[in-house]
Amino acid sequence: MTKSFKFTSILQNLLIILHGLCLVLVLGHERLEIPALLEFIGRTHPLILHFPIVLLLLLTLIFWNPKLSLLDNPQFSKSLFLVTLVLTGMTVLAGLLLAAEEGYVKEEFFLHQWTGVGLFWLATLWFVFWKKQKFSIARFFSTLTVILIIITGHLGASMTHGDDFLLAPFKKESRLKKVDLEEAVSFDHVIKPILEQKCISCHKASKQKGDLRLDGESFILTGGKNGPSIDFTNPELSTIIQRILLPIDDEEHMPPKGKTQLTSEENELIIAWINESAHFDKKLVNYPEDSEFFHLAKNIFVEDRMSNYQFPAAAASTIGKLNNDYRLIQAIYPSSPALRVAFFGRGNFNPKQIDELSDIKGQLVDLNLANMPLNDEDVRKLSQFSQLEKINLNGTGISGTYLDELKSLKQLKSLSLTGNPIDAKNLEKLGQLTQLEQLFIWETRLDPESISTLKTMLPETIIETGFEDKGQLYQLNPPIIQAKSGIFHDKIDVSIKHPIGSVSIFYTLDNTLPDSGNYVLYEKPITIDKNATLRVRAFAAGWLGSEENRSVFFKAGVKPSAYHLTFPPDNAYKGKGAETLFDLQKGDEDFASGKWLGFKDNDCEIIMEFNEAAPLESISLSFLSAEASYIFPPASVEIWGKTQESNWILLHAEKPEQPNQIRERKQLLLDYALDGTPYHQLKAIIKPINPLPKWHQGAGQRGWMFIDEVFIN
Amino acid sequence: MEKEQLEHSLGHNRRKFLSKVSLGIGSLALGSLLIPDLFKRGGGEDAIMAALPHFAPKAKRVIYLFQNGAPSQFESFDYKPMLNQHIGKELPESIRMGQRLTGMTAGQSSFPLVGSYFGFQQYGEARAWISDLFPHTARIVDDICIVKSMYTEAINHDPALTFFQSGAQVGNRPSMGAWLSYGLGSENNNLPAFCVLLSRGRGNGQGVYSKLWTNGFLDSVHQGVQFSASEDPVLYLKDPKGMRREDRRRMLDKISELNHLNYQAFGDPEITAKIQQYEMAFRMQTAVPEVTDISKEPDSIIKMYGPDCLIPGTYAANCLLARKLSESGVRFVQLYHQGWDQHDNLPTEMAKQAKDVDQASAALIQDLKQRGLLDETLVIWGGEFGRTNYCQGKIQVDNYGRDHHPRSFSIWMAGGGVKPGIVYGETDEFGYNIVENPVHVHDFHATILHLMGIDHERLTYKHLGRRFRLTDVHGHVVKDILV
Repeated sequence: MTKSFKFTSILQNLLIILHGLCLVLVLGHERLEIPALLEFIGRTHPLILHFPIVLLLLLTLIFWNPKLSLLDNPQFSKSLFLVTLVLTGMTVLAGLLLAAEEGYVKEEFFLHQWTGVGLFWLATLWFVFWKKQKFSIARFFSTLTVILIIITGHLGASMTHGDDFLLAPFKKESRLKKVDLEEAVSFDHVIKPILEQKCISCHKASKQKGDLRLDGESFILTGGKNGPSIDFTNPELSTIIQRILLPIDDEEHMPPKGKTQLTSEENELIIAWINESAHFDKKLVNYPEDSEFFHLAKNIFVEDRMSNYQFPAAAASTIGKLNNDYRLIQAIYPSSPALRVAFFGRGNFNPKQIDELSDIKGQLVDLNLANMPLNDEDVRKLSQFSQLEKINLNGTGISGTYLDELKSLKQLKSLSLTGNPIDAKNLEKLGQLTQLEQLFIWETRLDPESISTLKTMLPETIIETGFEDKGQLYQLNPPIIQAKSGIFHDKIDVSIKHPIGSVSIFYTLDNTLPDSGNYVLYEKPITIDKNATLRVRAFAAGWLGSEENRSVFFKAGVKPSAYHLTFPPDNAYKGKGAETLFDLQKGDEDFASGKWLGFKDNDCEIIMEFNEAAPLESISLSFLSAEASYIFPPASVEIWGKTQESNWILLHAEKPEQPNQIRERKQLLLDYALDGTPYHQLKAIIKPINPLPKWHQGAGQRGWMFIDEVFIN
Repeated sequence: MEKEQLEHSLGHNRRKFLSKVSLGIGSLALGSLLIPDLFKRGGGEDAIMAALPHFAPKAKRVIYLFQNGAPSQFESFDYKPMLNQHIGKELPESIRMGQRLTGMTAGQSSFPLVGSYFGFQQYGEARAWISDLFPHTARIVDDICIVKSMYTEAINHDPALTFFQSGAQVGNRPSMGAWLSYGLGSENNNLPAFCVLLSRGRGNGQGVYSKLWTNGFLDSVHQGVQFSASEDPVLYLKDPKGMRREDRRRMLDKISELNHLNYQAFGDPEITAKIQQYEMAFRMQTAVPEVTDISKEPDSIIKMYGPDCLIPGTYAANCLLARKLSESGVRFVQLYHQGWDQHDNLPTEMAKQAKDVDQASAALIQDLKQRGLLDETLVIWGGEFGRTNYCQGKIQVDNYGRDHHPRSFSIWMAGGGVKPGIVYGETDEFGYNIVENPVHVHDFHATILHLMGIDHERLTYKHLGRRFRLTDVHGHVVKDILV
């Protein structure tokens, strides 16, 4: 007794919990996403639903049959009732979980869900009133329960098996035979199947919503209560097009909300068909080449090879096991059994890794071994992968000895052999691969003659030979001058590099352009020990000589013990005053960098003193010219010298050549010999240009003079 | 982050809840009423990811040759002889239709039309017009699809560039490469799925910044990795001198243990991202030198790409590197070439710019083609908007400039499922407005995702309470240009 009491009390508690859970799911299912475990429970719905149906019907039978009284053994009856109700509850719960999964049209399960839940509630009430011995009320609920079992069961079955599952064998099926593209007709094979699936259930002889029938050409042309369905003068105004393009929430949208909707492809097909005059019996192949309808429709008839693989898929665990950081195995797209494999990381490659793929030899369609170090023997391993369509063997180093073994791969369409030393004696073997659609043989050591032989052996194959060096001359790029600094004390080693190792580098140090008649061949780093302009160019057979690169080197052998400027530079470009001229830092072409001194209103007068009367060889001044920025070479330069005993003597006076147009920015170095005289003092007087020449946009104004460094040797 | 932390802590509770259900306690009902997200799995991302790609992809990888600064369509692919005939004449207001102007020409009192300084010829089966500045591109015209009807909404560089990269004008959304990395992952686990290469041209330049290759709100493993032109293509990748690889391995193992402990304590997904990135960096230490080594490329490669391809940091070198990265399974290689902003000195500057990119761009197509890779690699060439048909500043026969123009411009695409040898879209005879087949930036993104096997409406990420897409709420696949 206690034992059975415990059993029924557990069942009763379970029943309450089930009611609670069902209530939650019914009220909140829109906000729920179901974890996988519960998805599993949901999917038991079709399995367990048969128990409550049978048990409820059984209970009804016992309940209504006066000869069999449920009261004969109340404890047993109560248990039977409770088991039935718990199973009903579990079925409902599972059903609600299943419904929360994606893929169910809301309206379809809506009724089924509510009748199911209602059934659970009514059956519970039936039990409650039976227990309270109020039999007339119990009978009422029992009747409702049975009615709901039938309705719910039918609705559920329609969802699982389709609308007309039971009656289908009695209906005449107008199932279309599949036709080829050549025979397909615009309406019968393209538009009609869409209408039949999505429209005709409401627009046919027996059910003419909006007085419209879509089950025949004449009905379509006649249209419904809103007039003809198709407007031949303004196709885009056709009722059909307008209705299908309305937002789904619009009352007028077709198919109505809740019914299966047209896919975007179907929409496009219908629109294109109407736009192109809605022909009913035009063959697809008679549409013009640029017809949109034709292009959309032909996809229906062209079998998509990729979606039609007949072989079985490999086990996910097999694929997972074979995948690693250096070997990728994946389906060509989800749900396809076809696999592609790519190897990465030359250093980690071992030919054994190809053998390991034998578990998926029936699924492998695309194999990428590019740049993996292969031996010719390894190619033989590929013939086991019978489904292969595409093989990439670029840069693997094979010579092609066993390529003929690939001829057993009937599906092979594309083979890439670029960058391999394919031996001309293996041409015959390559020529046996007549199944190929594409063959890539760039950089394979096959000479033009072999290639044309190959083309006759493989007439159906597109052979891609790639870039050909047709002797067109391209220009080399200039060499790169590598040196630590443009200014040095005693001497400097300069190296010159070019990214192409095989070029010849020509250079000069006398400020002339290197060319075939005037050059020094660069062999090892050059040592420069005096002011020099290094100009370099690269030359190579089969190339045009490069443009030049140049670099100016300055020797600063003697630094004055004292120096100053008589007049300050312009306030905007004053640098560190005279210090800037002797800091061994060349300015670049940015004159505002602080490494340049700018003069416009003042002359630049530099006084330099030397403690030890050493013989001086030369003085060099470094200027900038940037005419677009009003910066010109100096108008005049005077160099004065003074020994211990003499007065100031004018040593040099020069008016540097002035440009007559705007040039690119460049630096200008002026050298003056001092002939080894031990000067005590030197003075340089440099005047900026004034006024600017007539051709310049600032004609008449004062120009600028920029100086960055003075070198004395 | 807050969302992830909450979910992490709920993860424990969920387990407790479930164990209690089995004991017959009805608190689940109450619990699920109080916490509606209890049944949710991590934002729904697992389901989104499980369905990717959505269909058979045409392209496996993308190389995007971004011409930063906006090259003029009138000196490249949009031939408008009318502009040469009416040079100096005023742009009719009926054509301009109130198009807003940039601050640079808003003050200009007149808008004199100006035609191309460079000649045009027709090439290929499509008889496409291509300017004399792009002889190499003309050579591959039968392999590319020129789209002359691109348009955008932005009229300044930064928003326009950001729009092209991320589908929004304001930065903070993931870049296209990051979306593809998120959606499709890497083919090669030893290299980042999204690599970025920069080069600087000789024309007036505009900046590029790392926000253009950001992962945005996506996991940071998806951000673009910039390869630099220095001797270390990927900075800080090399081990310090004297460190053995085994030592590095042991160090990483220990760090990983500590990080796992931290993850269990805090649940911050950035910690797992960090662990993954350390591991990838370790593998990259061998993979990167293998890919970036160009010393073994044959002479014919140098002739194809031009000798600049051997100088790191040039556009040509980046094109060659892009091919090598792509060939090694990098999902998205993004190049930026600066210097296309010709507000003045257009003829001189554009000639230099074209010379720098033309040969290498064409060589990349040719190179992919001769390796059998072009049909699985999508290559895109183009800038962030177009340029005006009228002159900015003083107009001279051999010197003029063009301002920014969003309403129409030209790009080209090749390979990866794009119809070769066609010209798509048309502009009016002034080259100002599109008259046929407009392609918006969102459509462009939708099309690229489509080619990669992704339905742009279904690649989403939930962030700040809404689901984001690369195409936001717009975009149509341009089916006409698909094979």
